[in-house]
Amino acid sequence: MKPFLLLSSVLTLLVAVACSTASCPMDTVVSCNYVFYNADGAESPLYDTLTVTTSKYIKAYVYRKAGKEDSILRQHSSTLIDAGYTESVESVRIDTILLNRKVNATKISVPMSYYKSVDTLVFHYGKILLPDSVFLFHSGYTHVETPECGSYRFHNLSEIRTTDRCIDHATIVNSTVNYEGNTNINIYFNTNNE
Amino acid sequence: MRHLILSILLLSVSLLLGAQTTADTLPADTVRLQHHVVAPDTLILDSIAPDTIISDTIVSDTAVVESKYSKWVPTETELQPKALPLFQGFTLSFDVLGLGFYAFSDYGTIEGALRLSLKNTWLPIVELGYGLCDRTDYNTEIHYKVAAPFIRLGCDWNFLRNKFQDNRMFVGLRWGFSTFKYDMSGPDNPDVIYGGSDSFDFSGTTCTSHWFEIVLGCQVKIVANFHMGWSIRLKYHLSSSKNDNSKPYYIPGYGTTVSGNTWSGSYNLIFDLNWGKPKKKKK
Repeated sequence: MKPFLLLSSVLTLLVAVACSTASCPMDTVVSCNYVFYNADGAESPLYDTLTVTTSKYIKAYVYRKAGKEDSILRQHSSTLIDAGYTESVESVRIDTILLNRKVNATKISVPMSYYKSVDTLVFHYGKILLPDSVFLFHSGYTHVETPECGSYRFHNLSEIRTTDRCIDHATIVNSTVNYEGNTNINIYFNTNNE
Repeated sequence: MRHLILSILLLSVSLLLGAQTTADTLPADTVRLQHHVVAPDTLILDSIAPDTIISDTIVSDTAVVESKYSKWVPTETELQPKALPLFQGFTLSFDVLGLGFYAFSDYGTIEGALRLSLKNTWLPIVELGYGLCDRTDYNTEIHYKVAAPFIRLGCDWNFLRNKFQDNRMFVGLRWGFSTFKYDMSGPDNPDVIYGGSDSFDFSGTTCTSHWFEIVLGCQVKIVANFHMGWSIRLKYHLSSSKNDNSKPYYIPGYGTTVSGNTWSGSYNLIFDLNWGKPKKKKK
């Protein structure tokens, strides 16, 4: 009896220690959600092509040589130096497309910067030549649900400013940006978008 | 979790086998004793007058009476006094499963309990312990560390019909509480779109947690004042103080907070204490 009791105790311990599961949230993309309204204040699709871009600065290797075009590379190149180019490390602005040519969009989701306090988004339209700029002021903070699921950057929105080529105004309706998919910003366009 | 339940069932069978072995011993002795008390010869002589002619019929009736008496065997309950005193003493127990968890995994508990027995039916209990967790996730490299005390208060109900025996099967409720500080840190998290990278370190985050437990368990007498027993527990997380950055991954005394409820178990070494208990009179 007692050896059986001991054996079953050890088995209980080993089996219990062996099983461990974690259920991470399925949809974990943290993005700021925008909903579009027309000039009448009604929720309406934007009857145009919309592209959203942003800019960032990266460290790059710039190679210059008289009579040649400049070469900008992410990594050091010994070949260009051997060919007589001069090398300098500079901060170079590059554009990133966040949303590409979306048509008849009623709402969009745009990722936010982890560590900047202001995101500058550029809204490019198909029919309207000049773009709009959207300046989004926020503070980001790290959120960890469980160690297995990794860390996320959530944000608290404080202010939004826009240019007025196509956008009339924008309001913050929910200042917390997380992965729950709530609407954060309403954008009111100054036309009926038709 | 399925493996845990399976193994606990296995364990329960082994314990019940032990309990059955103990229970079988006494009725067997009682039957033998009963045969001595009601001797067949005595019964016949007492019930028949000396001058009576013993016919076949009378002998047959007497045999029926004898048969009825010899079948009557008092149960263990009937042999015991009718009522138990209210105070049945204290027991002190130590959990070895929590220690085993800590030896073989990243977290565990060191805990003991003091239980009062009232009529061997109602068993108020105080469980005190120290929960430990030191874990770095293999994939995310996020590190979590906590070491803090906890307390559980509750009461069990021994639902075995015979309250006079030393074995118990019980269900019970617990309310658990822990206030603790935990550390959580993680590696660099690069922003691939906008650029930049940073790590995080939340040291000394204060948290207070409450939870509720439903307990099912048993204990079996091994020798003299020493018992062994197990319990399985379904735990519901009631509340934890909120923090924007993180929530506690492991609450001392509760376990991991991956979902809203969790299962756990304990395997106890139990010692009877004789504080204030009336001594048995020697015969």
